[in-house]
Amino acid sequence: MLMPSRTKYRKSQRGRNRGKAQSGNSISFGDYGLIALENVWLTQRQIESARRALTRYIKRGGKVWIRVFPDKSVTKIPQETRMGKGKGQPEYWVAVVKSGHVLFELSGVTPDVAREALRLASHKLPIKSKFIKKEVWDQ
Amino acid sequence: MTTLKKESELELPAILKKDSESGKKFAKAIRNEGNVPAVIYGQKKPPVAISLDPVYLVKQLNASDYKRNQIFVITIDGAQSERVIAKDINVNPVNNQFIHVDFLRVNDNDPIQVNIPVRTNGISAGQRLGGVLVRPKSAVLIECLPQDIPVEIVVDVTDLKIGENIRTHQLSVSGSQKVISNPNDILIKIESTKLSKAATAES
Repeated sequence: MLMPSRTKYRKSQRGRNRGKAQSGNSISFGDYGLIALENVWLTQRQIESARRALTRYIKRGGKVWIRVFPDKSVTKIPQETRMGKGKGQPEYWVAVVKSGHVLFELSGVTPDVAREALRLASHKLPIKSKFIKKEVWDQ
Repeated sequence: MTTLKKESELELPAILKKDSESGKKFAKAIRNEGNVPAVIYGQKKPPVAISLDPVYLVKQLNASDYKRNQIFVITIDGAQSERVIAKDINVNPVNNQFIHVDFLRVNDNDPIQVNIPVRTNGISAGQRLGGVLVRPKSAVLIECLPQDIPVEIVVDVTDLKIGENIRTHQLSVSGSQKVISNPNDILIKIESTKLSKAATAES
């Protein structure tokens, strides 16, 4: 699963996740893509699950790009623990995703295969998402 | 590697905005009417704020062979006309609606910089063995006169094997055209896949 190999600080503040993606919002590498239509924290498990669904459908052809990386640690206080005594320990990693951000890109497959593969991948995600292909203004 | 030459210019009707009608409030009002705010600048003339129909613009862009690099003649309020090229198009990534368009005035004597798409021709030797063709950059930045803008740059990839690539400096351009992109940029490469690795292992 995706996670940083080394971080400067182990725990991070939650922050806000509002607005639209100002970068990473167009297809850069492949021919087809899947964009997020909602703001969300995508966990490393969700990204991995979607990636597996995608690569299994396209079998061994084509190339996949994962455009999001879970670089934010999420902490959790253990169950049956009294409140207080500081922040919990890092439990998992998330990617902070804004609406309009490209999640996956695909190339080397037919449009029908790309659409179906990305549809299967989208079912592994906790958000609404949309299939896109390279447009005139993406040049 | 060949380039094709341009032939025609398309007309685009637009409405002139008053000087006082600039800013967020008026831009939103224009978008609510179904139009898109735009600006024309360049050639050391004052910028002109206009609004135009985005549906018509998209139709023209899609119908044109030159796509983003199509030269338009914008007629403002049916009188004043400007020869322009779309310099920047802001699009809402969620609903694909146009937010704003920048047009650059063009003159036959002044070179301009345009992104030209690179198209591949044929199926490479590497793809036949199960490799996949990857295009890290799908366009190159070229400086040329407006009348010399090519439609696309076609690259023959039939001899390309797995692991081989084509860089920007290998492209051939003609006339007033000059490649501005980094000469070492990889445009096309053939990458191995599990399928190609299995095929090479079997052989």
